[in-house]
Amino acid sequence: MGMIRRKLGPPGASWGVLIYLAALPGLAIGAGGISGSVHTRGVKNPTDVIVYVEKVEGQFQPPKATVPIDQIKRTYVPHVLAVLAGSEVEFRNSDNDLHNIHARQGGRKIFNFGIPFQHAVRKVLKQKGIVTLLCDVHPEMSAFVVVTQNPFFTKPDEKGNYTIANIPPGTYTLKTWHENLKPETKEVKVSEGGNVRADFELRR
Amino acid sequence: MRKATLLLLATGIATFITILFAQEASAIPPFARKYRTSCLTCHVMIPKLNAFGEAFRLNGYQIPDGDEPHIKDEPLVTAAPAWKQAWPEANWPGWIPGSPPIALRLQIDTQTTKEENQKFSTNFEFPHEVELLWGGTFGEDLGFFGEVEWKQTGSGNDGHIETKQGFLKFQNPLQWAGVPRRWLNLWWGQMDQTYLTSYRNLDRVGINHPLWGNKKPNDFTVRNLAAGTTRTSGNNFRLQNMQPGIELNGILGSRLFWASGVTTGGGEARFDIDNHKDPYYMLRYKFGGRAYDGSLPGEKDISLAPRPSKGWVDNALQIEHFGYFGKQRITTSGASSASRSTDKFNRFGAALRWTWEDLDLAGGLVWGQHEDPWGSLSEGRIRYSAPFARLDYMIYPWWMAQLRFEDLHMSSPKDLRLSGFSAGSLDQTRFMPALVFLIRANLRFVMEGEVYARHKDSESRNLSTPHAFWTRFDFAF
Repeated sequence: MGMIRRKLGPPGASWGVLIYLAALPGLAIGAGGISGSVHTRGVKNPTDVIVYVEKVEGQFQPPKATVPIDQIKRTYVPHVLAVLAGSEVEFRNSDNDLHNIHARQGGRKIFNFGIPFQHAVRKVLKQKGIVTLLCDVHPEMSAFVVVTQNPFFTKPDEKGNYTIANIPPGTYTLKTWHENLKPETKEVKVSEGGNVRADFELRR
Repeated sequence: MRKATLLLLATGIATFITILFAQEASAIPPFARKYRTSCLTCHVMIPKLNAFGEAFRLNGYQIPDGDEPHIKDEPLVTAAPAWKQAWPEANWPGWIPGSPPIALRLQIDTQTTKEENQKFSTNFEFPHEVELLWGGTFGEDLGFFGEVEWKQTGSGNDGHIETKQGFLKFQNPLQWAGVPRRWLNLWWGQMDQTYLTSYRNLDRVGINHPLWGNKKPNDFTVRNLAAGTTRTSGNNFRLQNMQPGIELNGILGSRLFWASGVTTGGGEARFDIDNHKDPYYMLRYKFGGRAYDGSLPGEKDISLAPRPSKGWVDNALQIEHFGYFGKQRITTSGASSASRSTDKFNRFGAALRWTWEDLDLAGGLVWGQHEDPWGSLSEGRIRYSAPFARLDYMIYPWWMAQLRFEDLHMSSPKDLRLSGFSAGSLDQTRFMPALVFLIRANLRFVMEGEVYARHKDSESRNLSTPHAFWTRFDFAF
């Protein structure tokens, strides 16, 4: 798990992710998609949900570009994101304040390091699962990274609608994750060029 | 006498007519501020809770379907919820309320009484009571509530300050072990045990406490005329007192509420006087209406808002039962001697409550006995029975009519009489009509009459009937 510390520069990683996604083998003619809606109850952050395909046959290369997560005004931004296992995440500190990144996965600490203000640190998240990010300096801060086996994941829009495109035909288990809500699963059959719908209602 | 009778008659007739032609506190202003919602989200009329308010109370002062999205007054987070995953290496997450969760409550009373052969007597208690209340949550599943009151003592301007309540509600403490949410909670502190919800102090829109909760053995005084002595049982237990205690409770299948706990059993004392803890249990079941977990029949979701114009409507039937088993070391006072003994006693209660549209009708019985309330003076028991009924009718959202019927019978042991004491039975039957007006959602005005049909002291002597008329302004902010 490599670690690179550098001074903050202009953001640009998001474009890299998009370019990577566009170059996926799934883009091949015949790939299908899954779309639907996610409705949540009893939570303040209803769109901080990750919808992802649990397992897709094959090996997926992580994107070359880093995925950023920032600390702005003592808040992790974004609060929830998903990355493909092996992706490099850039942890930024845009505050004029000392923060640290205390990361836990599967009930144990996987790393904990400080970031001086206006600096960034890069780490590769290798293991799939939920990585919880905390800050020992400011206990009110938290964020989550859903590390997946494949790149077929998304976060619903403000209305709760989502689309996952370019999925190879096959039968999959679609899953949801939210920090406070029970996870839901659905079996979906993606056909060549088709689009399958899967709606979720998440509860505590 | 004539004026008093007319006044009481007028109140009674008004109540009767309104009933013919045509529903009491634990939610407080800090909750209204926290959620930026009206008092009437949880109350029929302060302090009477509606079905949603009761679900909120049972859920540890949290909105049952998930508290977080409803909080408008942002709390100060002491540790993010994600810190759960670092426990026990880190503190458990929590928060403190954004605004100080406190409120003031004032009660301004008048009391007009007229006993037989006496003139009218009207007393202003301005104020009767001033309360400092607080309540809220320290993060998910940890509620708190408290009340300190200053109260007129009835003699001069002296009053006294008393801590009425102060407790914590640990909701779902064993959820980590797989116990489903709402099945098990732990409440700890000095609290209103609310043995009977059909007719409890918590919901009392009227002024006077229910007889079944109010009377205690040491209200029972007997005289030995030959020896010129009087004796009073040292047991001052009454169900009405909010006692220090620990309670386990929960909701099974959304409609069955259970509770079991222990109290210090110290009567009016706040400290534990004899190291014995009194156990009790409560069971309640609700048919129809909003369930105890806040859910509505036929709806998957627990919605926040009650019916917009009639928040009190909850068409349901509730059946409930409780048992209380006490033991208290007592000193039986007398003019010339005192004896110490242990009095074992119990109370049981059963009640039905039917709520239909604007009507709320409840009735039941509380009964029990004291095995040795008199120490060496007597081997006999005091038997206790108190039937009651209550009818509330909402005429308008701001106007409620209420009629209460209460009866109390406490009988003394026969051997007291054999020992030369003028002992008998204490019997009281009274009707209490009341009109309650919400002048504002947080300001209530009550007119209540107290009419005795039977009023005998502990020696079975007929007392003059102390009919009374009360008014109260009650407001909190």
